[in-house]
Amino acid sequence: MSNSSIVKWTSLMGLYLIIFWMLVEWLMPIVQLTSTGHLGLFLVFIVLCLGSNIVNLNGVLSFAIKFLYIIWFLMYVYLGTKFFSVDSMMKIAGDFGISVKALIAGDWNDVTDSFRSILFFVLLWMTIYLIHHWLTVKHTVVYFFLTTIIFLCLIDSLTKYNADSAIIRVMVLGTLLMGVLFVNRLFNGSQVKLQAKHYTMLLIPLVLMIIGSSVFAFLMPKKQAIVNTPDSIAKLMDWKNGQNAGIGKIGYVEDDSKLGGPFEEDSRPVFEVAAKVNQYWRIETKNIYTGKGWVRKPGDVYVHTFEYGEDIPMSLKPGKEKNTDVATITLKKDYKFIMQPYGLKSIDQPNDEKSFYIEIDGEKIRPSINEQKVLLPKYSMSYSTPEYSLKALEKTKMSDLRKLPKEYDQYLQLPVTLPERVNNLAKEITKGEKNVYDKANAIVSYFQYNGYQYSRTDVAVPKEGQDYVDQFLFDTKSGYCDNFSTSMVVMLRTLGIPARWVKGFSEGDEVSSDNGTHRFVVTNNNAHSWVEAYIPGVGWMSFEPTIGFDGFDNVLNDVKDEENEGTINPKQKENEKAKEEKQKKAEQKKKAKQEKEQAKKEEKKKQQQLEDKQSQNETKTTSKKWNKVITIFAVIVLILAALGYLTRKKWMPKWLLLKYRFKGKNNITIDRLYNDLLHQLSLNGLSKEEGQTLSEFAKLVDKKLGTDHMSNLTNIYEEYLYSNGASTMDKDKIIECWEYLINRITG
Amino acid sequence: METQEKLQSIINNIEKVMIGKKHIAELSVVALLAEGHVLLEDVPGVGKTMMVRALAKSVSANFKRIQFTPDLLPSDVIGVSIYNPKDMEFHFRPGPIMGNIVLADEINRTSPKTQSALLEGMEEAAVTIDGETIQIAKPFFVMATQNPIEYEGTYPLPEAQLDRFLLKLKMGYPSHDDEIEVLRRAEGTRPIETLTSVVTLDELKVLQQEVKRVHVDELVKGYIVELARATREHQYVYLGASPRGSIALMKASQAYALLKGRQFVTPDDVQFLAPFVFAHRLILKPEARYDGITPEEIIGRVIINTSVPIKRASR
Repeated sequence: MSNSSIVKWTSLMGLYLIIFWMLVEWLMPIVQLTSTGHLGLFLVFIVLCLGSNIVNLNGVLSFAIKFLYIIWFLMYVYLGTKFFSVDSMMKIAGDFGISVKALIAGDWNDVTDSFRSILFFVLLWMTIYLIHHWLTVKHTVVYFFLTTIIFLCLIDSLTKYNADSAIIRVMVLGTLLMGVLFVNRLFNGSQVKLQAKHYTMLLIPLVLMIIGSSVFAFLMPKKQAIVNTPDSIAKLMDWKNGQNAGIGKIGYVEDDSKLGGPFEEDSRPVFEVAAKVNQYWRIETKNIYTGKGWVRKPGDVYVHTFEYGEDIPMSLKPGKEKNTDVATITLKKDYKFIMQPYGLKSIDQPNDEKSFYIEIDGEKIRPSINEQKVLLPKYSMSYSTPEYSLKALEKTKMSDLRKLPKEYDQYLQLPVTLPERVNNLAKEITKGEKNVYDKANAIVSYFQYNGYQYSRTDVAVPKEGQDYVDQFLFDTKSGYCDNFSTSMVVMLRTLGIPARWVKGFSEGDEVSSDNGTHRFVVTNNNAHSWVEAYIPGVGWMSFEPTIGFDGFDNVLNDVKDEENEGTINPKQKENEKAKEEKQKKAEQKKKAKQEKEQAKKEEKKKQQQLEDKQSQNETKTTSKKWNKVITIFAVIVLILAALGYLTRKKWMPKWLLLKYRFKGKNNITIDRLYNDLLHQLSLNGLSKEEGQTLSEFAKLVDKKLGTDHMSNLTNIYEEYLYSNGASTMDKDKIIECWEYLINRITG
Repeated sequence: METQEKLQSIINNIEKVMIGKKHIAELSVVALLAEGHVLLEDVPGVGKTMMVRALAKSVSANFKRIQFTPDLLPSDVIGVSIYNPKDMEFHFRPGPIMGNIVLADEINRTSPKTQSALLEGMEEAAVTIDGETIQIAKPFFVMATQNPIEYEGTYPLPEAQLDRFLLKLKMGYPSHDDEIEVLRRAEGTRPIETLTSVVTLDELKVLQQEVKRVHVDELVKGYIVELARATREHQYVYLGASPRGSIALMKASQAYALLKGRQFVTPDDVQFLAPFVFAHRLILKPEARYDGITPEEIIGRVIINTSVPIKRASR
């Protein structure tokens, strides 16, 4: 072995040692995160692969060794046999067969562990082969280095694996590796013989630099990471399952700025109530609609404090004094706010320490000690459910809305991005109604009769630039309380009726009753949202637009004309209205029968139109298919084009050679030939500078390639270019020089 | 290639006398062929005069020498009319300018008046005495030398007059080995004495005509113009190369191409000659002098930054 080959061999050894450590950095997190055992055995495999590359083992032999090692690993790990035996071989082969079948069938879960191990080994094998190729042929490992860094960064930030020190180790190893390879490239490019002396002379400053900068970097003060995302992987998995957002658990959450997405059931209890009747529990209202959800007004929260037993200043006035009741709440979850019944008057449990404050914007009531939020596990409240006179409600006029004081303007806020069609729809729905109350009810009943669905699972999240309400009203028509209530608030606002979005819990389930006092359990499933609208002259009033909810029983039917007495549910009323309409429709049908003959002609026309439409639809579907084909085709063409562009260095010279051979020498012009050659040279790193003359450049190229063909060709070209063109050219010589140079470029 | 052989023999002849100064010899021949004049600038004792004498001897031309001194008068250069009492008429006695190859030694030591007499003669190839214009015999080639280190009692040539010289050359010191060779030759007879002419005056005239026929392609013309323009636009240049400078560069390039045995000018010729043609025509801004930047450096940068034409639009 000559001196320089010893140097080469030792440097390769060093490189592989570094590669080994970098591969270890890859294995560590994989082993730790997937709780794979036998790290040592995997490392042995890596050593085997690297070692066979270093000693340049015969291909068949090295394959056999690796293959046998994998088989032995499988036997040892999965069957516990230390030595080869026919039985265990058969077993492994069986496992292999099962796994392959499972793979073909797409049953990923049926793939056996041993097969997974085989795949992992193959992956390792291929990776090492690739690295070997990079090391010995390309003399660069930038890709490997980069992917290692990216891998570790991702692993560190997305999983629990702590790669802090691993990243530093890889950085140091990688820079060392690249430096050594650069030195190798230097020697490869030049004719200088590789000598240990030169090698060490070049490597010592490199090593010193790396050590120095590492120490410096270690000693430097470091900024703490800003974002801590320990559960990102889990989030990502959720994101993969859901369309856009994770499947939320239903329940009371404070943040409503991004509504939408499916929900899972959660029947854990939130609180228990002891009261006479089952009812809605109000927590707070929100006023600012962003197009995606609801937010509170940013900035200071104005509060009003009060004590036990004191009258609470709610915007929604309680009902009659004689109807006052008491409800007792026992919290099962640590919510530091009060569950309010409608018509809340006061909180009655004398206690000197605690006081309350109500956030004026939103009407959330919080118990506190010394201005600190506290938990009030059990409390009772007196309330009187408000009742509204139907007579008064029917007297309301839309024109009264204009006389409202300015403070109600905040309940008319709408985002500028709200599509116009929402407003148009609201107008369309309420066209026939005169008074404010009926207009509001028209919106409630609109949801019932127009194909809207209540669903907790099939709920979309608005896309970028899409409005939450618009999406629900026109596109998806499927959603839960938030969709219905938000849509109603927004539609009311477009009509100029002040409205706000209310959050809380709907009625719970009754668990027991005792002397007229019933006990109800309210669970996370009861988390709900609804609507409060301001009816001029009457005040704030609650509405339930969500399909399948009973709603509020608070309208006192005092209109004399009506036969029924007592209270009436607005929804019942709506039902009656619908019945009347049905009757009217039946009458209209009779009329229509009489006009049948006249209509016959029109029907024919309509049918024609329908057929036309159908045929249009058919062409649409076929064109859709074509679109798909064209898209796929375009993608393939793009990929091919990209590949062709990236590898143009390789194929273009050959193509040119063919092209010009095909053309024949009489049709070749030297300027095309020469300029193509210049282009190919520049692609291969030999580009002419601006101020360089052709002969200067030619000398450079000749020196690099060790010929004089470029100068010869250039002389001919220069004469062609700069003389008056009288000279004749020796085309055979031109082509000879040109072909030689093109072939040299392609290597 | 008879032409090239002749030209080569002139250079070889000069090289017998001047050791290691081939490019100066070449450039001098270029100026001679292009019918231009040369300004040689360097310290005393590096062989400026020897150079000119060798060139004159090689061409068998009428060689004249004017040693400029502060008290030299224009008439000492161009000649004077003397009254002859015999025939009672004024006879013109031609001055030293009336030669084929004139060495104007230390041109910056004489008064501007005398300098301009010479420069006018160079420009017009004629002198005017007593209202009578007398043509100077062709070929007419002036090689002026000036000493850049002496400033006491000198009259530096104004920039506008430097324009009259086609090339400005610097001799420079010989290398170590060359200088030893110089010493060795100084031991024997001076080689200049043995020099014989290789080209006659008529042959020189033919060569000068041939230079004019060397093809300068539009591409190369464009390149010359671009270079001249670039010097004008350079940040350190107060006054760039004039159109006369561009013409000079073209003519010199033609001569150089002929010298190299080509019938067409290449950008290489232009690049090689640009520093010698342009350097003395540039007037630099004061900041360039503070930054220690010479005109040659500026021209070098201009060459690097100006793209060489390598493609014909269509033929």
